[in-house]
Amino acid sequence: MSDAQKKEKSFQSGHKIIGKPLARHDAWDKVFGKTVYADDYFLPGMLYGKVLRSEYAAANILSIDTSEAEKLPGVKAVMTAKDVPNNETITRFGQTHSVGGFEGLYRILAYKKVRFRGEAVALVAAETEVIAQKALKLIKVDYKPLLGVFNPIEAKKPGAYKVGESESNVICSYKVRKDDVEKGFALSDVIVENTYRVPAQDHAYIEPESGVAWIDDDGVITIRVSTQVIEHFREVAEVLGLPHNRVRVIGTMIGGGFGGKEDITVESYLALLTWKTKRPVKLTYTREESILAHGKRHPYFMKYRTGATNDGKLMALEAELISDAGGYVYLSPWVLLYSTVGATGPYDIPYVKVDSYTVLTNNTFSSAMRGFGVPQVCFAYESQMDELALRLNLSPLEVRKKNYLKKGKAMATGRVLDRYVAFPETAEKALAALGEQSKPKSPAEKIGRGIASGMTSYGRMVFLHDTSRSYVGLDMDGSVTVRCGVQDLGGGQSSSLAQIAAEVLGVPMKDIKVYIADTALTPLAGTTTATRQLYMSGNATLKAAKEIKKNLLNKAADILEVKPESLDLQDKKVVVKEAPDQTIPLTDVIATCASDGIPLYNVAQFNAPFRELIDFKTGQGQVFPDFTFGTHAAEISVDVETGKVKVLKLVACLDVGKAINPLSVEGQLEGGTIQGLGYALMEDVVLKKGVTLTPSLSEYLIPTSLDVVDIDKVMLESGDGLGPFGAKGVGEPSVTSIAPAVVNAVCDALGIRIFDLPLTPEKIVKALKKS
Amino acid sequence: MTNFKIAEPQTIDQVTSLTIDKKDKYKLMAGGTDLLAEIKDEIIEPEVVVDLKSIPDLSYIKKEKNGVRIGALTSLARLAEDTLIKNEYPALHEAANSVASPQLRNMGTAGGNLCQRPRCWYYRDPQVKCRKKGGGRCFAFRGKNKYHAILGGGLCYIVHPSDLAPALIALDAEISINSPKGNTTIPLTNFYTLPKINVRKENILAPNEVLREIKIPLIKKEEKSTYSKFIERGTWDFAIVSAAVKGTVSGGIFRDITIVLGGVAPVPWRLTKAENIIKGKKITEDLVRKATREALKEAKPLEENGYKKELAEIVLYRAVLSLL
Repeated sequence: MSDAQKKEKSFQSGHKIIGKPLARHDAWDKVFGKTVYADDYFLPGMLYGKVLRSEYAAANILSIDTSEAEKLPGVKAVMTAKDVPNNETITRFGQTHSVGGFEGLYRILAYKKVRFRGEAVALVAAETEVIAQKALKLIKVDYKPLLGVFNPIEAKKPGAYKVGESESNVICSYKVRKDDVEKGFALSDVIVENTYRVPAQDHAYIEPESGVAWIDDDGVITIRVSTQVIEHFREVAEVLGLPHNRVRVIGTMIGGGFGGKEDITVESYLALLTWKTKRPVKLTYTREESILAHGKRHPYFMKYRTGATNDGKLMALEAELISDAGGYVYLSPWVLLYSTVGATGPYDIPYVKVDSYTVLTNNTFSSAMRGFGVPQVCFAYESQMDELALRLNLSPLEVRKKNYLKKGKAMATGRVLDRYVAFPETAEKALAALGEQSKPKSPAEKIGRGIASGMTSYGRMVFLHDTSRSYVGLDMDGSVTVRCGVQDLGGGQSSSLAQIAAEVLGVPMKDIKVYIADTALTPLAGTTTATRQLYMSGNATLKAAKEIKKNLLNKAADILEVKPESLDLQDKKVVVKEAPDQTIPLTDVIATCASDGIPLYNVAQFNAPFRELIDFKTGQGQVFPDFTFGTHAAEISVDVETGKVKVLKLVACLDVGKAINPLSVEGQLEGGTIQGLGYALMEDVVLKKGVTLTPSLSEYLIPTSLDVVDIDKVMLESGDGLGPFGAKGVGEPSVTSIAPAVVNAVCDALGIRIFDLPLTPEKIVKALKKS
Repeated sequence: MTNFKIAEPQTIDQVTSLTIDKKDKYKLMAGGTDLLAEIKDEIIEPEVVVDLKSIPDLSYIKKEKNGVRIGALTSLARLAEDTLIKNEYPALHEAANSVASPQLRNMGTAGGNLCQRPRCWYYRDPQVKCRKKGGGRCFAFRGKNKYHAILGGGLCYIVHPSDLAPALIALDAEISINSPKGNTTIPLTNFYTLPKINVRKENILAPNEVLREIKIPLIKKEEKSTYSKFIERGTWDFAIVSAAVKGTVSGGIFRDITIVLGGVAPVPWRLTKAENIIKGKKITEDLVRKATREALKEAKPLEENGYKKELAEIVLYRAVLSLL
C-alpha cells in the first residue's frame, strides 16, 4: 500500500493517532545516545560481579577451592552452589496455572557435574572489575572430564552418555495424528522425502546481558536489569528463600532481546552477590561470555515426507523433528511444541503424522529466539513445497494456492481458523512486488527467485491462561499517565501504549507519560515475548482508557444534557459528534469528575482466551490464541564459481491486522527479515565437542548493511486481529519465512537444493560439484 | 583483562632500549585494534604496552625518486584515501580499503596490519593452549578447519590475516626495521616465517624491534596491479582467499607477473610456478586455472578446507582478468 493509500485508510477509520507513522517518543534520545541502558548505571559503593564458567562441556566437579580468591584484597564475596539458599529449581508447564507435562531442572550454579562449556560455576564480587577477574583465576576447580554427547541423535539412543543425572536425555516428545498417514501416502501420486538441518543461531543483540542490584532502605533487593521478563522477580526471590515481594525488578530500555533475555540472565547472580555483600553490585557480560552463556535458537534435524496428487493437492505429511536442547531444559519443551503444531505450515493436509523430540546434549543450551521453533520447520516444509512443485511441474505459487488453509478450515491439530487467513493474498502480493526479474551481469551469475509462506502465533499458549494489566490515569490538566509493566525491547512497546491512550482519550501524544517495567510500581503485564505485548497490554490499556472515557462522557452528557453516545473526545475537548462546534474543554469535565468523586483512573486486566491442554496422544486441541500470516519473497543471484549469494530483492508481506504505528511495524518487518536472512546465508554457531568456536562477532558473522537491500514491506490490514483496533503481532512473524524464501530462490537459480543452513559459498560450490 | 602500564616513548631508540631485557612482558602497540582485543581476551597479558603513537612522525606517505615511503603508523584509512597510492598502486589501495570497517581502518595502521596475529579460532580461545601458545598440538588439524591453511601448515595451520601483506609483497615492497643490533631493510617477503621456523611467531620481528617504514619501488611503465579478496559476507571479514597480482601487460599478455595469495597459508604465498606458466602467454581462464592448480599442487588440505584450492583458481583468474 502506498503512503497515500495508508493515510486514506487511516482517515476513513476516523483515527487521529492510531495508524499514523509517528516517530517514537524516545527516538531522538536513542539517536543522540542519551538513552540510558543497564550498563550505564553506577551506584555509590558499587562492586563488580564476575562469573566463573566451566572450561569443560562435560565433567564432574571433584572439588572447588575458593580460599585463594577470598584472600585477594578487594574481593568481597566468592560464592559457589553451596552458598545459594535454593540452587535448584524445577520448571513445569504452566505459569499462573500448573498443567504438568514435563519437568526441567535449572541450576543457578553448577553442582557436582557440568553440562555445557560456559556453565556458571562460581560468582565473585570485588571492588574493581580487574580484581574480580583476577579472583576468578584463583578459584581452583578440580574437574574430571567426562565423555559427553554432542549430537541429539546420538544422545537419543539407548545407552548414550547421560547429560544430566538419572533422567533421560529425551526431555519430552509430542505427537500430531490426523487420520492414518499411510493412507494419505497411498493416495499420493508424488512423494518427496528429505532431511533438513538447521544450526544454532545467536541473538547477537547489540547490548550484552547487564544489570545492577542493590538493597533499598526497606531491605528489598532491587535489580535494574536488561530483561524481557521482569516477573522473574519471583524465581529470584525463591532462590534466596525470600517472600516474592522482597525482590523488585526494574527493567531498563533494552538493546535487543529477540528471546535471549527471556530466561533469567544476570538477575540471580546479582541478587546473590548483593544479598551476601549488602552492597550494590554490577554485572555485565562480555560479548564472548554472552555468546557462551545464553540460549541459542535450537538446532534441528527434520525428516520430512510429503505426498500430493498429480494435480497438486497435498495428501499426506509425515515429519520427525529432533531438537538439540543443549545442557539444560530451559524453554526447549515449549519451543518444541511450537514446532510440532507448526510442522504442517499454513496448509490443509488430510493425513498427518508428526513426531518430535527435544534432547539434552553437552552443547550450549538452546532456548527462546524470535520465532520460537517456527522458522526451523518453516524452512523444512517450504523447501518441501518447492520440491513438490518441481516434481509436479507447477509453479511454487500454484502448488501453494491449491493447499493454503482458509478461514473456517482446520489445522492438523483440529484447530479451526476462525479469522481472516491472508492466503493466497500475501503470497500473490509478495511475488508481484518482486517485479520484473533482474538480468545476470556475468556468465557466472545465475538469478533465482523464491517465496515462502508462514503462519506464526502471537500471544502465549492458551493453556498458560495469560493475562496483562495496565493503569491509565488522567491528571487535572488533561495529561495522561500510563503505568504498565511492559518491557520495551526497542520495538516500540511503550510507544504503542501511549498511542492507544492518546487515541481513546483525545489528547496529543506529548501529553502522555508512560511508566514501564517495575514490579513494585507498574501493574504486571507479563513477558515481552511470544509477540504478545501489543495484543495483551495494548488491550489492557485500551480497556482502561475506555473506562475513563466512559466516566468523562457520562459526566459531560449530564452537563450538556445529551446522551453520552452522542459525544466523543477530541483534541482535549468533549465534542458533540453531530455538532462539532459544541464543545467543552476536557479540563472542565475532569474538574467536575474530580469534584464529584468520579474515578479518573482505571486499572484494567485483559485475559487471553483460556483453554485446557491439548491431547498429548494425538496433538489435537488449541494451543495458540491466533496467528499472523505472511509470505516472504526473494530474488537473489548466485556466483556459480565462488558460490556466493547476493540478495537483489526482498519482500515481506504480512497481514498485520492493523498497523498501530506503521513505522514500528516496518521496523519489525525489516529487522525480522534481516535476522532471517542471516539465518539463511551466514549465521552459524560452530561447536566442536561442545566448544564454541565462534564466541565473538568476528567469527560469528551477521549481515552488514552491505548484505541487505531495501526491503519492500507490504503491509496488509485485515483488521481481523485479536489486538487493539484489530491489530495482530508482527515481532516474530517477521522472521519466519525469509530463510526458506532465500533457499528456494537459490534452488531456482541453480536447480539444486541445499538441505542445511546456512548457505555458505563453500556449501553451494560443493553442492554444485556433486550435481 | 589484566591491568597494564602504558609507556609513551618519544623516539624509536627509546623503544629498542626499553624492551631489550623484558621479552614478552612488553608489547608494542600501533593502532591497537588487534593487540587490545588480544589483551581483553586474555590471550596475551603484557605488563607494559608501548604506545608507538607517541613517537612523532611515523605517519606519512612520501614519494621520492626511488619510490614511495610509508610510515608504519600511517592509518589504513589514510592509505586507502591517498590519491598517489590509488593511482599508482591500486593493489595496495584495494587491500587497505578491504580491511574490516571504516572505524577499524581509522584506528588500524599499515605496520600493525602487517604484524597482526592469526584469527584461528583455537588460537583466539583463551582456554585452548595450542602450539602457537606454547601447547603441544594444533587443534585445527583434526578439528574444525574450514578457514585454515592448505599450504605451509604442519605444526600449525593458521592463515596469515593481513590484507596489506600479499599486496605489498606483490609490489616488491621492502620494510625497514629498527633493532638494537642496528637498523636493517629487508624485502617484506623475507619478513614472514612458517611455523616450522618458529611456531609461536609469524615473522622475524624480535620483541625489541620496531617495523618503522614500508618502501615500494616506483612503478614501471605499463605496470598494473590489483588485490582481490573473497569473503563470506558483503564487507568486514577476513579473507577466505585473496589474490594480489602485479605485472606489465599489453595485448592480453603479461610480460612479467607477480602473484601472491592470502588466506591460504601461514604466510602470504607467492605463486612463482603460476607466474612462470602465465608469463608470455595469451590469458585464458584455462591457462590461469591450470597455472594455479599447478602452483597449488603441493597443497595439503585438511578435512574441511579443500574448497580453497578451487576458490583460489577463480579469485586469481578474475584478478588477472581485471588487469587486461
